[in-house]
Amino acid sequence: MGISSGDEAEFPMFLSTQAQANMDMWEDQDRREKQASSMAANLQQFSLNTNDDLDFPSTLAEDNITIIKRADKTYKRQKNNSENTGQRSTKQVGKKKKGSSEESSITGRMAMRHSSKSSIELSKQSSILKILSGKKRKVNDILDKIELLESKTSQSSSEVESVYENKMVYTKDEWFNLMKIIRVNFPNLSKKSKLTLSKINKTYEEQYDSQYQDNSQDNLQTGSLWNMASTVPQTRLTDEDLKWLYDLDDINEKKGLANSNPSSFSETSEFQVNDVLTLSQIIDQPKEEEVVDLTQKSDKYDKLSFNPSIFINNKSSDIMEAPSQPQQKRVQQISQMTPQINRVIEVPSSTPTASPIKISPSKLSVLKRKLVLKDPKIDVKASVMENIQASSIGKHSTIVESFVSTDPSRKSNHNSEFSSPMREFINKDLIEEVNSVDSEVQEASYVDNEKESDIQIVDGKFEIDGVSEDIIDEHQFGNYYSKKIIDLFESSGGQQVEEEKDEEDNEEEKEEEEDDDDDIKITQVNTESVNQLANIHIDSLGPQNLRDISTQSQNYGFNRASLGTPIPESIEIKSSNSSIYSTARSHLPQTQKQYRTTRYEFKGVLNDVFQIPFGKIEAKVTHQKRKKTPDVIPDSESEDDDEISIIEITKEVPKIKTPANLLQTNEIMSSFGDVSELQVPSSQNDFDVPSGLASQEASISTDIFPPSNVEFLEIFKNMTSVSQKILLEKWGFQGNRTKQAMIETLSTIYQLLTDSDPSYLIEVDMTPKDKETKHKNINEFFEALLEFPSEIVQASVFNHISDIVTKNEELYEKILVYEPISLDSVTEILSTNGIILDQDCARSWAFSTGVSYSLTLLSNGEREIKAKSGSKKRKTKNVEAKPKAKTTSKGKSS
Amino acid sequence: MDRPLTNEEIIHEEEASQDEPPASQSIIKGPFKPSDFYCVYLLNSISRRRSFYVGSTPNPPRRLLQHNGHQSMGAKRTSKEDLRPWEMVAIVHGFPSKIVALQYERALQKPQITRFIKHHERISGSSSSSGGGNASRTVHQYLANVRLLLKCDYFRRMNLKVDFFANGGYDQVYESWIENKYGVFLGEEYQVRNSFKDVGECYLDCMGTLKKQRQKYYYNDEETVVGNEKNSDCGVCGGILAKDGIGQWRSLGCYHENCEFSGHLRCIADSFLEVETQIIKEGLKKNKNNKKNKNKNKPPGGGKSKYFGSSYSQLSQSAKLLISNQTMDKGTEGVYPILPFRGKCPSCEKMLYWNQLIKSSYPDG
Repeated sequence: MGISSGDEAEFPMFLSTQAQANMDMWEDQDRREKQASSMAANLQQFSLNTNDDLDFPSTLAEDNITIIKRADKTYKRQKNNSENTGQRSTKQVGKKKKGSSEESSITGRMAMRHSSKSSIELSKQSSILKILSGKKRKVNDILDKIELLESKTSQSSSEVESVYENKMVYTKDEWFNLMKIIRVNFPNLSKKSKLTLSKINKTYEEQYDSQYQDNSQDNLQTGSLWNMASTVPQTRLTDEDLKWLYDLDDINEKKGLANSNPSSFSETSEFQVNDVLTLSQIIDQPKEEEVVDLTQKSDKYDKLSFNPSIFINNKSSDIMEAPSQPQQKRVQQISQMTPQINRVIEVPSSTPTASPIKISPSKLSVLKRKLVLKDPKIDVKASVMENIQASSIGKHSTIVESFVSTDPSRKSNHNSEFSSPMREFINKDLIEEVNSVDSEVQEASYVDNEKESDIQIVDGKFEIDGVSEDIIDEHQFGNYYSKKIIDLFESSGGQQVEEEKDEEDNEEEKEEEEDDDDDIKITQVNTESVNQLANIHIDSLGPQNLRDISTQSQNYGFNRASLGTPIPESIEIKSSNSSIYSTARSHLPQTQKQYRTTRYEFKGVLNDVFQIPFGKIEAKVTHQKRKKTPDVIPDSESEDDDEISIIEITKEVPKIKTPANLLQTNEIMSSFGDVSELQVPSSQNDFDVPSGLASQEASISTDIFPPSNVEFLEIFKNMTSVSQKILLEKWGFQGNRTKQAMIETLSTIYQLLTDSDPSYLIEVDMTPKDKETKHKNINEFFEALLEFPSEIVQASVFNHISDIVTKNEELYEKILVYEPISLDSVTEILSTNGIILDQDCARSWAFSTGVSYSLTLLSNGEREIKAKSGSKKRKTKNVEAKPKAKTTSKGKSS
Repeated sequence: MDRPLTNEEIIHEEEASQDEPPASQSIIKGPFKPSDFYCVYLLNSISRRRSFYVGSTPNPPRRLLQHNGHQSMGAKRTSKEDLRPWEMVAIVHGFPSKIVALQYERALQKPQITRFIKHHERISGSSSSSGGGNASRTVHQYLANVRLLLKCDYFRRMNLKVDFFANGGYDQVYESWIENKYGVFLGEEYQVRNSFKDVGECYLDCMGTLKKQRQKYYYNDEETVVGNEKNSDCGVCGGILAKDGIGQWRSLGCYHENCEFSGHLRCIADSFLEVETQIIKEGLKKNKNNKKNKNKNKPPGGGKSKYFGSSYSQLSQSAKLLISNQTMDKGTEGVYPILPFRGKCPSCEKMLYWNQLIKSSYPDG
């Protein structure tokens, strides 16, 4: 670089490389000195010399050096006290670099040696450096000192002001460069230093703006407005502003718009109505015409299987608008209602098969009355599908009736559109009605089908007029319809059902049962409706079954476990206690025969129906083609492989009135208080629900209460282990491990319950129904039994136990003296008296009566000791062993 | 034994020595005797007031010395020098036997697991913020658990008593008991005192009273021997009251001063139980009437107390009543007792507590 001829046009002589290098060095140094001097000159703004030396003598460079040196020293001193040693070091390094670079120049070195330093100046300048370094706590002191010095140095205020006001030492570019240099050289500034820097920046800008505001308009804009525009405005838009800005009607709808882009704004759709609608409001529009229309238009609803819907979709708006006087007679207000849940959202369905249906209770009753009056045999060919939805609000449950049927194809849309509104639909007035009638509305468990099913079925329970109502379990619901479907299909001989079904079947399968006051029989429409049912059932089962079954919707290849009791063709809406809602359980058949089926797939074509020697077992063969699953690629494309025959083996089984169902639902229902958590059966397919054939002969059992214990043993045996456990826990006992043990405990408990003196139970105001009354079903008795709260069961059981124990004098003496007894002895005594109970039961008995017990005592009086080393041997000890011999050997040890 | 042992005796001794358990295991000898004094205590570290320790002992002053290192056989958790010295802040005493006291102690040490506290009443659980280890529980939690355990069916008929000790100025524990932060309501039947200065005082007091009661009838003093002519008949059944009665023919006597009532164990127990069952029946009838108005299937305990976490003392009277109706666990309704709890002495008309009766009927030692 030094030897380029162009640059050295002025210097004709050629310099040696060394000289050239030195020249370069000196040039650099001079450049740096210039920079330093300029910096020092700029720094003079802060300097407090009386001599406004605008000249920049070399002494300034000296002063800088000294300043820097002093600064280093002070920093070193402060280093020990300060925490930010790392940052100090960088600053020191940075400073040192500057100092060293300057010291290397000859002039600088000379100045160092021979310059005289005035302490005041140095201190001032050191203080300046401290300011720049960011020591906040020193800054104020320094400023105070500066003021003092100012006053001392008798600097005229005007001059001072002039120094501070008129002088704008740095231009914008210089300032920018300065900041750049600072940031480059001090990469790791502390927070304080950064803060001070930013403060200085601000003040600089303010001053800059104030200085040049009048002078140039350009600077104005660049100064403050730029800042304003680039930063976030501090003011927040109020609602009115937003309204005006975005032309909003309701601010409530667009609360998030304050932060969101206007592009995200969506038009208000009609269904975002905040109206509070109650069923009663809707109820009070008795649209009789609709009902009549339904009956007349029943043919049109071939494909719509679920349309005794009193609300027709088109008229949803009417319903929404219709305000009606709530039935205030039966109504009180609930304070715990959450306001969120008051929207009725009805989305019209695109396909004719999918339609949300809402049935209100009073509407149903209206229907019933009318239908009954018209025809005892009702020709309404629309099936009524109902679901009771209940959501719990505090201790009161609300009833929502809604049903949504959708195709599985619309699964994706469903959840977004249907799920939330259905849940949110709540009948305020119904609740009030319920509450007022002294009925108990219990906490309902909200069973949400988290799997992708289109049907939102929720368990709930409510009472009206003091009678408990049933709820529909999801599985029960599924079962119900599966059974129904099976009936239909099996009635036709187990073959594939064609879509056009004979109406004869419908008529044949109508059941005539005793007409209660509020019974209604509604027969089904046709197969398509059944298919719809099947679809629904399929949906409700969950995605697994969906995969299996969805492709076979036209057939009846169901999951084995889903086979259930036969369902009559006609659906009964039983409300024996003037209840408004009908449940699936009320539709359950009352048949004596029960059937269990198994289904086997057999490759190939079976033509012969073989006979089975056993009387009660039957077999049916059906042919069908295997559905090609999309996942599996068949090896060969021979058609033979596709044909399979299905063998159905059915077995007669003695009658069971599906107590498991009852248990399932009631458990969830009435578990509160004692059990804080929901008890839901682990596997829904674990149901021992017997299936049945199509032909039903309705018969009502004329069993007299109470049925014998033997029958109940069978009932208990047929219950699933899960349901047994639930029952036990509901009654306050721990569920045992083995099924047999549970059966035994259940039977004994039941025995004790029935054998116990009515005095025990009457006093607590819960008695089983009198022995004289005849129960139409065992179901009802069972329900009554299950309604017993655990205290009563426990009380009766424990009183029995205590009776027996007190008769045994040995034990009782021990108890009275607070001697801890062994629970085994209790169980032994009980077993001798014919009661088989677990150790846990005995423990809970001891717990409730206050008898002190010891778990490690055996009935002999020996103590069971488990060795601490972990070996499985048991060492028994004689508690009362040989005192005589021991007294001789161990005299005074005790 | 002076004479040489015969073969039989040698065999006996050998057998005895074989059957002898190793010295490390504890030996229970002889017939059962209810313990004179067994207490469950709550230790608090003086140097670090957040640390507690729960233990049980029949002799609290000695146990305290052990914890503080002045005697051997302390506990590992209390051996840390940072936490010493310890002081006993509260005790629960009145347990009829060692086993029951151990059960209570374990329940107090693990309130999140124990089956004495029902799930909906639980205060400290593993999921709660300050319920993890022993050290992270607060005084309020400990005391609330004490309350809950006292209230439960098993312990509530044992006539347990709670005593607080200021130990020269640190009164905060008793104040937090009164504050009842977690709102666990105990009836007035429970005796809670703050009168003693120290554990030692309480211990001596208890033992002293027991001795006095025993002295009344069973001290080997010729003047006060049961079986003299005045007291030879059972006050209830009129039968003969033998001094050496065993089992249900054991003789019990009223331990109040200047009362000479005595009777068979069984007779007195039956009379007490009659009264108690009547009371329960009346209570059930009242509940029956009340139940018609209320909702049927309401849980008896009312679920978790709504006033969880708020200071109980700040509530209004009506609120307190509400709580008492809700959270006052009446236990399993309709279970008739077989262990008497207390009863009135027929002659002096003072209340006799069963556990005290029993304990006073056993001789010292």
